[in-house]
Amino acid sequence: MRANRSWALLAALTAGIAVAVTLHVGLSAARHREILARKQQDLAAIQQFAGRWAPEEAWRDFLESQRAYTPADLEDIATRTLGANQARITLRPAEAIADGWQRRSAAVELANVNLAEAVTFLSTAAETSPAWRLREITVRATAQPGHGAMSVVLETLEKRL
Amino acid sequence: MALAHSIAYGIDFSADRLLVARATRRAPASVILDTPTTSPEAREWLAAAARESARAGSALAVSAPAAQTILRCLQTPFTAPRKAAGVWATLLDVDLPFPVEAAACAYTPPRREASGTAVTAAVIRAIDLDAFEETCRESGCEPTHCDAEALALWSQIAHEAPPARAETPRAVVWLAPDHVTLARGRGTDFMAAHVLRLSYNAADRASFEALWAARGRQILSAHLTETGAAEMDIWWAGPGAKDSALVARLQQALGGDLRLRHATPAQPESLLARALAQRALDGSGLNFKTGKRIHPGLLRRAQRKVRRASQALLAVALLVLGLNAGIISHRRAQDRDQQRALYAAAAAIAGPHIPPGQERLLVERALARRDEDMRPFRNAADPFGLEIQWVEILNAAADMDVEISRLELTDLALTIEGASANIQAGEALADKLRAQGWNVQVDSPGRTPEGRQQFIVKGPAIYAR
Repeated sequence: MRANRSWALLAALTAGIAVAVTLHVGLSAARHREILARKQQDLAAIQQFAGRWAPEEAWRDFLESQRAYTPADLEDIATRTLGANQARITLRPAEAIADGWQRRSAAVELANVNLAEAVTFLSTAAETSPAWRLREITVRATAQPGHGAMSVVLETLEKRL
Repeated sequence: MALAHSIAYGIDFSADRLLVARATRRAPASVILDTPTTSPEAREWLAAAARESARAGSALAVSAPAAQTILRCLQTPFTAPRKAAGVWATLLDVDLPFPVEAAACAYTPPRREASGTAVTAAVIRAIDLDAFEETCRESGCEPTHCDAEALALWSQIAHEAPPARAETPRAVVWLAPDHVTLARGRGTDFMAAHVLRLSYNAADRASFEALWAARGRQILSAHLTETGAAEMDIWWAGPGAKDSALVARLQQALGGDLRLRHATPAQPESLLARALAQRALDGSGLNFKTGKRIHPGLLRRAQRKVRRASQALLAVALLVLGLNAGIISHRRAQDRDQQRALYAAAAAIAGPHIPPGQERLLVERALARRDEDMRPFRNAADPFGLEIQWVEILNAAADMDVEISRLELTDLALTIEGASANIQAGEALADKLRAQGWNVQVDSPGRTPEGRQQFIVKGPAIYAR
């Protein structure tokens, strides 16, 4: 009789636990699916982000492969394209960016310059890798036709060696 | 505790004979032994039956002495079975000539009626039941079931000869050597039982028949009145029913004014044994041998059943727990794999040490930081840089005869101040700039002293560079 009672008690206890666990498993199924779906969404989004800088990285690799670590001398370009003392060039402090490279920028003031020569100056600056690229430009017309006063900000890359 | 059996034996000790009927699930009850109680065959069979009931759990059913068994139909207004069950003993206690505590009681399953609940109760004094059990033991019989005779006869007749109409009154007359039992009712519903301590074996047969005529006629007449019927069926059975001359005289003694239809079932002498076997087999019978009186074999069987049920429940519960454990484990594996993939993807962008759940947020923050770092590379690689745009703006202005007095250009915004022959030229320049990706508006502040239309074209870049 006592053995029977023990069996019954054990069975009832186990059945109770089984019911409770089954309820827990059943009720948490939706939450589990929700968590998995959210993680899958996050993973898909992150995987999409992964190829985001492919063109930039390709360009960096190109510069590295060309060993184009240092930009051309702006003073020299200005002298060649605009003439001596036509440009007042102020180099700004370099800012470290990714992968051992830094960003260099320079403010260039041109008091009264022929616009065609200015175009030549900018295109020449952009020719040599790493190129000086135009970031900002302000042109004010002057009395002389085809001329203007220009404030230019140029930017380039430089490898920290 | 009603346990169904696969084999049941009904035992009738009437007329100093051992009459045994066997019922199985496949075959209805039939007589397998009819021998004097003192014969070796009877003793052997009883011993074998006792062993079988102890080993295999077959049922051995006898009927309690009819003369000492009281049957009562009880009614209560309670409709809930549990509530009704609480009052049966009280109702019996009022009705019995002895305290209910001193008796063994058994009840039929409760019937729901319009006015409440009804049962038929069978009661026997404990000392009478003890004495009967002792008698059985002395005969070498250890029954598992002790049923009520009148109820067994009634249900067996209802089973073997179902009434044609539910409201027809009917009665069963059991002619035993030491008594006559008369069970009466309507259709299949049992109403009452009467036991007459008369013996057809008595020396004075005439006296027996006279007493029968008086009591039997009185009972049946009252039954017709009670049921409001004009005629009734009477079934004659028992060891005495084999004597057709006796039965004929007893029928005649009831008088001609009562409209009675008499009938005798097949094998009338074994009706009780068949009834006991059938009722024990399907668990529909009553059993006084419950509680402390329960047969050890029956008790063992019940305990075994409880143990097996518990073990089965335990096994199922463990199986369910196992399945749940599998599901939980599978979910954890899914979650772990997903988390690993997520962490790996996030760590490749945002670096290691990412708390779980923060992957996307930290990646987005890292992206914002790295985006700033990668911008110079993007600008450097841009084939359509600001230089080209500046030249295109200058060309467009020249094409439209627009004089530019001031131009500000960044990758975020554009402002052009100038003058033209008319406002349409300014609008045309704005259209061209819009086609180049600038979301510009045109403003006309007035005219120059020379009469040319002044304009300001201003706006942000449509796409951030």
